[in-house]
Amino acid sequence: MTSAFSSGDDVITRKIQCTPETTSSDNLFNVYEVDRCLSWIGQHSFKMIALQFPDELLIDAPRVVALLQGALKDVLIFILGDTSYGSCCVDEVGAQHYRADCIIHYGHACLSPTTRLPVLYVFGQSAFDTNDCVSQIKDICPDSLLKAVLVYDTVYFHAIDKVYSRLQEYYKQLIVSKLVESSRSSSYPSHQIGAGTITAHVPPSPFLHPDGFTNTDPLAANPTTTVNKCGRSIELPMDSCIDDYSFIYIGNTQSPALINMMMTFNKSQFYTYSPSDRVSEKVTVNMNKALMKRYYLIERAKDANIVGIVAGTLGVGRYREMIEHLKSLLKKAGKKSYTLVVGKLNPAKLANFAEVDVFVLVSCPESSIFDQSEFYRPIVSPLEMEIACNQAREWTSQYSSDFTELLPGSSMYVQSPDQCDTDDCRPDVSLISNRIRTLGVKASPAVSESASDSKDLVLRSDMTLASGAADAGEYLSSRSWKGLEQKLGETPVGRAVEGQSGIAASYQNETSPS
Amino acid sequence: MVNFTVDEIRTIMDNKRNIRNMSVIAHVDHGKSTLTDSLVSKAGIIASAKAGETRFTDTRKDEQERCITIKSTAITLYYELEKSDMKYIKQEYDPENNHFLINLIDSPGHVDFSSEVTAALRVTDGALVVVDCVSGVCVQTETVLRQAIGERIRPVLFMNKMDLALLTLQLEAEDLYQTFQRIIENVNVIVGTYGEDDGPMGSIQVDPKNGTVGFGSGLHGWAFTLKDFAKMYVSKFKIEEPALMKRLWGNQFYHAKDKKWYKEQTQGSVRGFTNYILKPIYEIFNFCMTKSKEEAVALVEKLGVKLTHEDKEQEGKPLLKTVMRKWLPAGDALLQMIVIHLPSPVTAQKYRAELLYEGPFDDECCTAIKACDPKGPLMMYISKMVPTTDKGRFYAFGRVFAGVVATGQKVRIMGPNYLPGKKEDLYEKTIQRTILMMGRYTESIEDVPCGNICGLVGVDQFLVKTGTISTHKDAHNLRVMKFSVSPVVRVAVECKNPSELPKLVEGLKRLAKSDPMVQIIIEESGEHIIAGAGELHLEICLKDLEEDHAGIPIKVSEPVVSYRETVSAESEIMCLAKSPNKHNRLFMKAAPLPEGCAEAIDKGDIAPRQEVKERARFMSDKFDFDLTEARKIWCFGPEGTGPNLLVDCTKAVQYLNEIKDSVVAGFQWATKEGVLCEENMRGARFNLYDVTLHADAIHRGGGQIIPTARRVLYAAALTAEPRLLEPVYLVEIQCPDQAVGGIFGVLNRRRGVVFDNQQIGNTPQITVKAHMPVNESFGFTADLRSNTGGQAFPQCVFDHWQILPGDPRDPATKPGQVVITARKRKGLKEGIPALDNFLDKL
Repeated sequence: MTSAFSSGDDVITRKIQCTPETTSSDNLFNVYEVDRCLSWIGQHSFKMIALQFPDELLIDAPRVVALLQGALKDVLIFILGDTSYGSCCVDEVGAQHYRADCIIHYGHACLSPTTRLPVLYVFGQSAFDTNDCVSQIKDICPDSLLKAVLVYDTVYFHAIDKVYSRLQEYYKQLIVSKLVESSRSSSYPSHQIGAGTITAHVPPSPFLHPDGFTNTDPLAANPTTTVNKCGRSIELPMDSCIDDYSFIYIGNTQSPALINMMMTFNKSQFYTYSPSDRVSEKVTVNMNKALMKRYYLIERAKDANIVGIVAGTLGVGRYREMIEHLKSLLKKAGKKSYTLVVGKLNPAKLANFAEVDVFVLVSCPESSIFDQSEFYRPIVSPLEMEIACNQAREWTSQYSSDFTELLPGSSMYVQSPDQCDTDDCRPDVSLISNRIRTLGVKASPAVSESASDSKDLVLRSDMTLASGAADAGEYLSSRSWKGLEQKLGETPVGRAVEGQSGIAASYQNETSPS
Repeated sequence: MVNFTVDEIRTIMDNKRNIRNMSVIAHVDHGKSTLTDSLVSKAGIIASAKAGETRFTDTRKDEQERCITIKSTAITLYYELEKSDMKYIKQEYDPENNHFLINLIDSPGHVDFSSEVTAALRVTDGALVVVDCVSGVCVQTETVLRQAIGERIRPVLFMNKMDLALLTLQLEAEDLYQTFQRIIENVNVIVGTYGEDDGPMGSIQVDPKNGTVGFGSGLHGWAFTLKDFAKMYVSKFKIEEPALMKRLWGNQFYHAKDKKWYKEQTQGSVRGFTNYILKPIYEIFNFCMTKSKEEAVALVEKLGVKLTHEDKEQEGKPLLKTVMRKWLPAGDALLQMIVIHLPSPVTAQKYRAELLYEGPFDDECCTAIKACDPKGPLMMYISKMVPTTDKGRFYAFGRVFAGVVATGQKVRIMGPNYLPGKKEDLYEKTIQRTILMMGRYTESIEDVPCGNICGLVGVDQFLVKTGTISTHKDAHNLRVMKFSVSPVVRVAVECKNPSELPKLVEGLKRLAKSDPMVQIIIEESGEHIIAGAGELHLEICLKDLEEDHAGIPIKVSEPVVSYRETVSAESEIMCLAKSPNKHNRLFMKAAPLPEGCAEAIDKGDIAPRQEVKERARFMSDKFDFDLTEARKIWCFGPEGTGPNLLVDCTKAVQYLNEIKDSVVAGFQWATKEGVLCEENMRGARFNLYDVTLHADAIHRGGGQIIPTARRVLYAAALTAEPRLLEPVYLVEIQCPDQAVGGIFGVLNRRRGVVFDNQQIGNTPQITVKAHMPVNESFGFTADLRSNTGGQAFPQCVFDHWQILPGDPRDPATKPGQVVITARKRKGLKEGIPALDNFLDKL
C-alpha cells in the first residue's frame, strides 16, 4: 500500500514485482492444462472465450492463446488482465464486456461462487517436492494419532493426491479437504445461475466436490458430516467436531487463504509447509489475539454513525443481496450508509470520504482480511458489521469472512429482530472513545421540543440540527471549510501570477533536486 | 434509625440555610472513617458503643478486611444546635430553626483513590481535614487540601489520634502544644499557597481561636474545640466565650496570682491551652491508666461527668474511653464545629457558581445556582456512579445545585461532551426514582430540593461516569472534574476463551462506570487496557472485574507504563511529503514546545476553545511564542485537546483553508499514534511552512491530503530527535530514621532521586520525598517494606513526564528497548519505520 505514496522518482526506477521467468514451451502445455481446456470448450461448444490471467502469469498469456487458438476454429479467445479487485476472483463483468460466454481462470483462486458465466479453473502446477513435504511435516508433528485435516492452496491441487496417500500412511486419522467450486449451500436455489447449468467442468478427480452436492455420501461405508468453509469441503466422521482437528496446510504462509482458514477454524492448531521455500512450521500465532483485533473492529463499527459500504467485488455471487442486506441492517441500527465502488482499495481513495466513520467491505473472503494500518478509517467485514448492528446475533468466536454465509438460507444467518420501539435506543459506553453511544434509532431529544415551542423563523444552522440522523451533512457543518462560502470582500484582491509549469513529479522551477 | 426518619429529613431539606454538605478528607490512615463513625453514632444510626470499631462507611467487604477506604460513601446526619450557640454562625442563618441536616461524605485517603475524593469534593461545600497529630501533614493531606481549595471548599481542621500522642508517645503537654501549632501552621501554609486571601470565600485559614480546629481521638470517640472548654471556664474567668477562646490558644499565659493574662511567659504564668485544656485531659489519662479505679471515678465525677453502674465496673483503657466519651463527646464537638463554620449551600453556591458553570454567569441556570433557588430550573451534577444490588445498574450520585429533582420527572441528561444547541451526548429521559444514600442503606424519597445530595435511578446508562442533569433546554454543562492523579499504570486483560469476549467487554464497561477515574480502552491491537493510578487501584479494579462485573476468569498481563512520544530539537531538515498523486506537497518541521507549555495545556490554561488573541498573548508572555504564530494555531491534538500544536507558518498560500480540515485530521491521527510505537505524542509543535496544491479542487481532497499530512508529520518527528517520555511518581515515605538507609538503597536501585529528606518536628520520624519513574514502581511497596522491616510505607502520586534518556531509534538504549517491546505488543512491524517511508524529495 505504501507504494502508492512514494515519490515520483521511484516510479521510474521501481521494479515491478513479478516473476520474470516464463514457463518453458515444453511445460506450457501441461501447466496450463491445455487439453482440459480444449475438451471443456469443445464439450460445451463455447464461442467467445475469456482467459483471465493474474499479473504474474500474464507473460505466458499470448503463448497459451496461441496454443488454444491453434486447436480451435470459429472460436474467439481473448485475454483479461487482473480484475480491479483481486486476481483470485473471476472477472465476470470484464468478460461480459466482450460478450464472452465462458471464462477460464488461471492461477490461484478463492473459489467464490459466480453467478453469470460458466468458469473453468486452471490452478496451474507449481513446483512441488512430495518427499520433502512429507518428511518435514512428520518432523513438526510427530504424533501419528493426530486428528488432522489436510488443506492446501489451490495451486498445489495437482500434487495433493500423492501427498495425501503418503501422509495417510503415517497419520491414520488424516482427512483431506476437497475444493468446492461454489460454496453456495445446497438450499440456495440454483435457478439464478441461468440456463447454463454447467458452472464448472469437474476434472475426474475424487477430491473435487461436485457443486451443490454437500449431503452425506450415501455410498460411503461410514456416515459422515460435511463442513463447508473457505471454499473447502471437509468430510468428518459422524459425531466428531471440527474443533478437535488440527490442520496441515500446504501453500504459501503469507497467503490470505491460510489466514482466512485460521480465522475460521480458530480453535485448531495449524501446521504449515510452504513448497516454494521449503519451510515448515507449527503456527504459534495466537488466534485469540487476531480475534480480539476483529472484536476491536466490531466496537468501532458500533461507534460509527456513518458507514460506507464498499463493493469490493462484482463477481462473487449474491453480493448485491449482501449490500441490500447491509443497508437495511444499518438503517435499523440508526446508522447512515453510503454505497461506494472504488475498485481496488487504497488509503487515498477511502480517505476522500472523510465523513465516513467505518467502511464495510463486501468482497471475496480472501481479499477481505488485510493490513489496514495505513487506512484513515477502519474497514470491517460484513460479519463484523452484522454483530455490531444485529441485536439477535451474538459474538460466539465463530468467524467467517464469507459473506454469503450471512444471507438468508445460509448456515450462519440470523434474522435481525423487527424494529422495536423507536424510543428504545440502547445506550452503551464505547470503550474506544469512552463516550456514550446509542445503538438503534435515537429519538431526537429537545430538538423536536424547540421546534414545537416556537413558530418563529429558525436560523439555518438550527435547521441542520433538526434534520435527525447524524449524516454527512452534520459532518460538513463541522468542517471549517465547506466549499461554498464566497467570502466576498474578505479575501484580498491579488494580481494574477504565473504558476508552476511542468509535470507534477518535478515542476520546471524545481529542477535542482535538493 | 433512632433520631430521624425520611419525612423529617425531607422537611429539613427545604431549609437550605440549615444544610451542610461536607467531605472528610485526609492522608491515608489518619482516621477518617473511624472519626466518621463517631459522627454517625451521634446521629443515631448505629449504637454509640460501637463507634470506633465498625467503620460504618466502609461498605465493601474488602474495605472492612483491608481496613482501608476504597470508595467514598455518603451519609446523612441530623443535628440540633443549641439555640444559644446559633449566634456563632457567621453566615446567613435562620435564628428560629436549629435543626440541621449534614450530608457527609467519607473519602478514601490512599492516593490511588484520590479520584473518589475529587468526586466527593465536587458535591460538598466544606471539608473536615483530618490530620494525625503524630505524623502531621502528609503528601496526601496537601493534595486533597489543594483540591478542596481549588473547588472553593472551606476547610476546618481536626487533630486526630491524641490518644496515641498521650498513651504511646507520652508527649509532654508543651511538646504536644508545639506539635499542634506546627501542624496548624503547615495547613495554613498550604491554604495560603493555593487559596486567595481576598477571594470570594474570605479568609479560609484555620485557627483554634475561632473554633475552626478540633482536637481529639476518633478511635476513642472524644473531641473538643476551644469553644467547649471556653464554655466550661466562662464562670471561672467571667469572660465571654469568644474572648476566652482567644486566651486559650497561642502565646497567652495566665498568672494565677496576678489574675492576669500575659503575652509572654513569665515566672509563675502558664500557657492557657496547656494549663486549662491539656492538663485536665492528662490528669484523666493518668488517673484512669495508673491510679486506682476509685480515684479516677472520683476525679471524673468532679468534672461533672455522670457514669452509669456498668461504666464504673470498667478499668484502664475501657474506662478511659468511656470517661472521655462522656466528658467530651466527639459527635457534639465536631457536629457543632461543622454546623457553625462550614458554609450552607446558600452561602457556598454564591461563590462556587461561576466555578461550576460553563455557561454565561447571568443566564437563568447560573442565577438559580447562585441563589440556590428551588424554584429555578433543575441543575444537578452527577459526580459518580454507585453500584446497586441489581447487577450492571448504578445509582447516579450527585448534588442538586438548583431546582428540585423528583421521581418521574423528565430531565435532560447531558454528558461531558454536550454542547448547548447540539444533540451529541444529550438524552431526554424520566427519572425512575430519587433516593437518599446513607452508607450501606438507601431510602426512597419523593423529591430532593437544591442544596442536597442524592442518588438517581434510571439515568446511569446515559452517562459514562459524570454529567449534568437539567430541565432547562439552554442549560450549559456544569464543569467536569479535574483529577489530581493520572491513570499511568496499565494492564491488559484477556479472557481465556475468545467466545467470552462480550462478557469481558460488558464487565469492563461496568467497571468503567463504577470508578471515577479508571480508564478502559480497547486498543487497535485488540488489547483491552485498564489504566489506573497505581498498583493498588488496579488490583482493586481487577478484583471487581473478575468477581463482580464480568464474572469470568481473566488473564492479566504484567503492568506496563504508558509512554508518550516527543521531540527534543527542531527538525534538522525541512520535511516534504507529496500526495499520492504527486500534485500536492506539504512542508513541515517539528519542534519541542517550550518547557511548561504542555502542562499548561493539560491544566487548561491554554485551551482550544479560548479566544484566539487572548490565548496568543498569554502564550507569548509566558512561553515566548511568536505572537503572529501563536494566533495561527490550527489545532491541538490528539483528540483536539491534547498537548501538541499544529501551527500555520505559511505565507499567502492559495486554497490553504480548503485543506485545513484534512491536515488537521492527519495531525490528530499522527499525534494519537506516534511514529515510534503508536503511543500518544506530547509536547511537540508542528509548523506548516509551505504548501503546494493542485489548482483543481478534486485533486487536493481529503484522500490526497490526510495520508500526506500524516506522513510529513511523521517525517518531521523523526528528524527532530524523537524521544520517549515516561511518567514519574512523586514518592513520599515516612519512617523512623534508622530505616532511612534501606529506603535510599531501594530508591537508588529503582532510579529514584531523593530531593527532600526532613525530620518531622522533634520526633524520630523522617519524611523522604523522591521522584521515581512509574516503570520502576512495580513491587516498590513490598520491596520497601522488606528492606525496612515493614516500617516504611510509600505514597506514590503521578507528578510529571520526563524524557527517558537515549535515542529510541537505537535498539541498544533503554527507550529503544521500550519501543521494541511496545511495537511487539501491539503487533506492529518490527523496528521504527525508516524516514524515507515518509520523506519525499523534490
